[in-house]
Parts: sequence; C-alpha cells; structure tokens
Amino acid sequence: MASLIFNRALEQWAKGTIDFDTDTFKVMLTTSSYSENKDTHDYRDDVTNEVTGTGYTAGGNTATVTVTLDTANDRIDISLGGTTWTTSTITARKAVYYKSRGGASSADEIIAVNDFGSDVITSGGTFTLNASTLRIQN
Amino acid sequence: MTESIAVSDLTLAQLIQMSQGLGHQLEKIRQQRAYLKQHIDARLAAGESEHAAPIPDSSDGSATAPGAEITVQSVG
Repeated sequence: MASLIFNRALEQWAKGTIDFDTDTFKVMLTTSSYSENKDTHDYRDDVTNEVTGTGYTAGGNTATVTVTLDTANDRIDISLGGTTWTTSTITARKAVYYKSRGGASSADEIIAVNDFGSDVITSGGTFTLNASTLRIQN
Repeated sequence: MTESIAVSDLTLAQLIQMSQGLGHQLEKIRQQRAYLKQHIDARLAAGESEHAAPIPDSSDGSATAPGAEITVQSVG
C-alpha cells in the first residue's frame, strides 16, 4: 500500500483537535503485516503489528513536526521529522506518525503512514528514518 | 535441428504413436515434479524458508528508511 494521511487526521486538524505547531508527535514502526485503512483507522490502538526488537521501545520515538507556509507555490508543508534507533535489530516496513497524549493508545490520533516499499532491516546498527512531508496544495 | 512434418502427411498409426510418445513424456515429467515436490515439502517441514534471510543495508548493520511525500489537494 502507498503512504497516506488518515482522513480522520484531516478532520481533527480542521476542527482544531490536532495542532501541528504545538502538539507532541511520535512515530512508531510496524511490520508489513499492518494493513492501514485511511477511512476507519483513527487512533493508535488501530495500528497493529508494531515492530519488536533490540533498541526499539513500544510507541516509538518523538518526532519533530514543523509547519512551513510556501506562498510562492501556494502550499503548506508539514514536515514529519525523522529519527533514529541506534544499536537496533529491527525489521520494519512502515512508520506511523501520531499525536502523543502521553496516555492510552486509544487517545492518540494517528496522522499518516509512510510505507517504505520494502522491509528496512538493521542488525545491531542504526535505523534511520528520514523525514516525511504532508503537503497541503492550494 | 528441427524438422517439420505436416500432420496431414502422417498416417493414423503414426499419429497415435506420436500421441502416445508425448503421453509417456508427460508422465515422466509428472513423476519428476512429484519427486521434487517431495523434497520441497520435506525441507519446508524442517523449517527451511524459501525467502532469503534479511540482510541489513550496510556492513555495520545500519539501514535507512526513506521519507514520504503525501499531498492533499484542495479543490474549487
């Protein structure tokens, strides 16, 4: 499946529940077995098959999110920051960004999924996740 | 080198003989396939995987996952 933004995330953003400028965001990794659904998946408890392995903690890492207005190109770029898992032994296929409220997974709104296209594998090395961009094109 | 013979030039007996020959070849291939399948089943049962073991991107065990660009287009 391709990378996508969850429909509910757009709704929550429009309603002001998600503030990309001030909220805390995290990114978690999943195996290829997670089958995202942009229509029905809305909270972190919908995300299955999170990776397990040395150097990876459930829930993933904090991700820096920034918003950039580009008037020349009539768009807003929301950068979902990258991160690293050092000294890790992981096999991951997808990264899921979500708003972290610090409590139950059922309260964390999921934003987007980045499908790497194939498994990315570390064996005692550094797993580097490059940043992604959500582009709102006017 | 392959020589072509028009089927219409063959006698009925020759046609039957050729058909039987192909049948024998087919049976032999079926037996070979069954033999290979036996070995495949035995190795799968022993836990061997048909997929290669995962290999990290670099020699130090590190790897990089690409970022994505997801565009939401406004309409109007």
